[in-house]
Amino acid sequence: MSRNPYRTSATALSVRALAVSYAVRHAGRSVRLRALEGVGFDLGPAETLGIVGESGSGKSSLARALLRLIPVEAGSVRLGDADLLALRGAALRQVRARLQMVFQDGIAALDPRQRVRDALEEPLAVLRPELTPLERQARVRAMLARVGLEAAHLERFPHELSGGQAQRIGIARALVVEPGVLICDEPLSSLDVSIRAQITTLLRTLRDQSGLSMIFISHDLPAVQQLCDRVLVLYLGRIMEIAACDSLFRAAQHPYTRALLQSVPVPDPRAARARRIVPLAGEIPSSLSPPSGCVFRTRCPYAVARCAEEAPALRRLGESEVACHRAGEI
Amino acid sequence: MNSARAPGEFVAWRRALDRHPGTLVAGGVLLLIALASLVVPALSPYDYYTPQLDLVSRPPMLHGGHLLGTDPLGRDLLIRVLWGCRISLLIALVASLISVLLGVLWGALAGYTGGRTDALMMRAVDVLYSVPFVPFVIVLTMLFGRALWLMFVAIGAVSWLDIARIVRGEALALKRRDFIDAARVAGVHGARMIGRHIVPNLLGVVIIYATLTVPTVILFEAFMSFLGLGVRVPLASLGSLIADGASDMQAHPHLLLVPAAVLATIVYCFNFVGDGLRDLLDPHDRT
Amino acid sequence: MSTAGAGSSATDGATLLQLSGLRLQYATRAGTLEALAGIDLEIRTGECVGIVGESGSGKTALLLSILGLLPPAARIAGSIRYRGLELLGLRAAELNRIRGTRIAMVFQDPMSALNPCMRIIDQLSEVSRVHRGLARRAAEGRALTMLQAVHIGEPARIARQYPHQLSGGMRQRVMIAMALMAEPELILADEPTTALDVTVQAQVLSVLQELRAHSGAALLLVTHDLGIVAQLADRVGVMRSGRLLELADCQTLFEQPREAYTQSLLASVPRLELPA
Repeated sequence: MSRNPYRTSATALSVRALAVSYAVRHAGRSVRLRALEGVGFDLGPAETLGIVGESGSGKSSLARALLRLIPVEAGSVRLGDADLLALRGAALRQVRARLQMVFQDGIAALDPRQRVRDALEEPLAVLRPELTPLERQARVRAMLARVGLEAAHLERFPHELSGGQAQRIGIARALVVEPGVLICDEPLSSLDVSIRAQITTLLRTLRDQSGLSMIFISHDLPAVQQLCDRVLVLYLGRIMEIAACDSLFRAAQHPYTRALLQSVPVPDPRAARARRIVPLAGEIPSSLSPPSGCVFRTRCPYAVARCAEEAPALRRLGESEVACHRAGEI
Repeated sequence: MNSARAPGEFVAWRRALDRHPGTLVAGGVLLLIALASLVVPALSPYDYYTPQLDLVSRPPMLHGGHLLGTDPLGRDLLIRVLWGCRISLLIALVASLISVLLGVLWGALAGYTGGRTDALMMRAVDVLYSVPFVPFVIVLTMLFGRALWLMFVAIGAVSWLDIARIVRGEALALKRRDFIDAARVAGVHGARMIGRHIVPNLLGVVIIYATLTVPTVILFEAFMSFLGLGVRVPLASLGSLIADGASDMQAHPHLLLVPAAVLATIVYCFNFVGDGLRDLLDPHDRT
Repeated sequence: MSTAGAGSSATDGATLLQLSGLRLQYATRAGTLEALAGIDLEIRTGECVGIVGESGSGKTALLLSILGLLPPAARIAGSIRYRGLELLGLRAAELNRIRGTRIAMVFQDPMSALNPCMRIIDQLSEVSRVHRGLARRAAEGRALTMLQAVHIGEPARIARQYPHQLSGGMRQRVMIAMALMAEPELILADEPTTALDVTVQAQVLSVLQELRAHSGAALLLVTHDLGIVAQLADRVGVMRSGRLLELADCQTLFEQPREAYTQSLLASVPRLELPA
């Protein structure tokens, strides 16, 4: 088991009141679209946090904001002792070795003109310049083996890889610099169903071996259930619920989480037909004009007058945190 | 299903070339002309500058030793034309090289950096675009006299603008792609990003536009020489030969037709090769 | 809302569609590609048949063959009979009539199936006006009714919009509405909910089920998602490399799959462990 040099007992990642917005053109005018609002959570050492949500939930914006790929409007992100949002230039690049990402589309995340070998060596060349070329090559080879690929793959170009292979390379590239925190942005959605289980298993194995903290963003609930310790549910850029994995799937508190879990198709005809599910009414609101108060109220079967006036704060309910005025009653 | 390997790059190229026999032929013709222009003058008993006043303006003859005839000073037209090819091709390639290098660096930097730098750099391009070419060359000629290198500089200085614009557009599009984000997460930035990730992924477009620039450059040069601004006598370029031939068109048509035909062939072939390359490189690029 | 399809009674168990020895080949640069290698399938009135398979199994080609929507490079052999009428080789006008009134299709990507330049109301009423000769007012009225039936809130407002102004889930429901405007006996659906969020998918599937129950239309549903099939289908077929490997009653397929491939498909489906 390789020692993770960044493993401490302190919180790996700490996010507070994160807000992200984009300028978009709508009806001829330039307006601001709030992709994330008031997002805060802690990621413990060797913990895996799942982030689930549908379109417009802001989960991809969250990943990109944490990695400083897009500008952040407000809030703070602490990576261990470093204030991530305050860093820039060389200081920011220094920290990059500690926080890495696996992208959604493995093939698109690779430079089409670069061989796998160069793609894997590059993070080491840039972020660990003290290594000699021989040491780099040795690490690359070791990492390649750990993700289940052979040396022959080093000479390939991205278009010669399958989706699953490309994703393994993406994981290898992220982990070759030995980060303490790994963010996976929908790593399974561009893969065939039969390959997804393999990649999920790979992530679990690698995580267990190195004590990595992981943020696993996905809309694939079964995969989240398999991999995560805690789960965070996003809707229209706001947190609806944060709970331990078991608690969430067994007894979700927020109406949206319950609806989400109910909507997952069950591959068992008897069970599927026995369920009398009432699908959520209405549409996911536009992020450009979110509903007042609680953003979920337009589709919530339990909404009352208060839900339109006041946005519910995230509060403790047992072991979970829920943003619902009526949590506990329903 | 996804485990099927796409064919290697080389095989894909070969197969694509099979589909474009025209490109191969055009490329072959160009190579032939280039080789001929280099080799034949060395083998021929005639040179391009010694006048032979007893053989003035002879039409093409199969047996008299002057395959394509002679020019008004009795010099062998074939050799003159081949020398003209040498000059024209040299100017074309060097000037294109200058414009490609300058255009790619400028455009890639502007496109990737974005923001105010991009705006400034592209405004500079816009301003230079509006400079009228012919007066510009005339001014340069007045300042520095008629010289070969002047042609390189003048033409290169103007044709880089188009490439800069194209490259900047491509760089802007590239910037948004996932693998650039992935490289940023790996700490890549600045010169390394532009040199290793942006420019190599532009090359397809650049090669296409470079090969399409070449005929433009050749025609530019021909035009300059036609106007009397290009190469100095006794050196000839295809343009100056055409100019000379045009003045004697009615009496000795071969003096115009031969260099004109060669120029047309070269330009046509370059266009063909450029088109073929575009087909070859574009679908491959858009993975 | 009207019930039975044009002409015959809804669920008399008669055979609607009969595919016999259906073969499909494409001529490509790399040689002949066999998309379908002999398919035998029967669909009866009112039933829902789910076809599952991975990408490349030929399931989409199957649907396109039935409707005659194949590219010119396709060579098709075998037989496709709709209520006894042979569809292969049928004259274009005849095929159009059947496509418009008896068989309807719901595509995977509504943006490519909906005309971006026409308002929703116009596209919906077009079906009635062309195939049933209704006057404009009557056709639009039917269209609005249909939008309500697919649970689109504020149907009058939505109807006046263009496709790009709607969300993915709405567009998909508009497509279902369009398919049902023709009062078809058979609906072909190609991955109708793949691009949708889970909660929206649940909505769309619920709408499909409701409308089927109402109108008695049969449904041939093609998907890679076994969960959807478990919910909706009466019978399920498994396709692989252009062949129909296994065709069985839904319960039977899930509980006692015969083929090894089916077993491995079922094993690879992610299952959510929920309290009973």
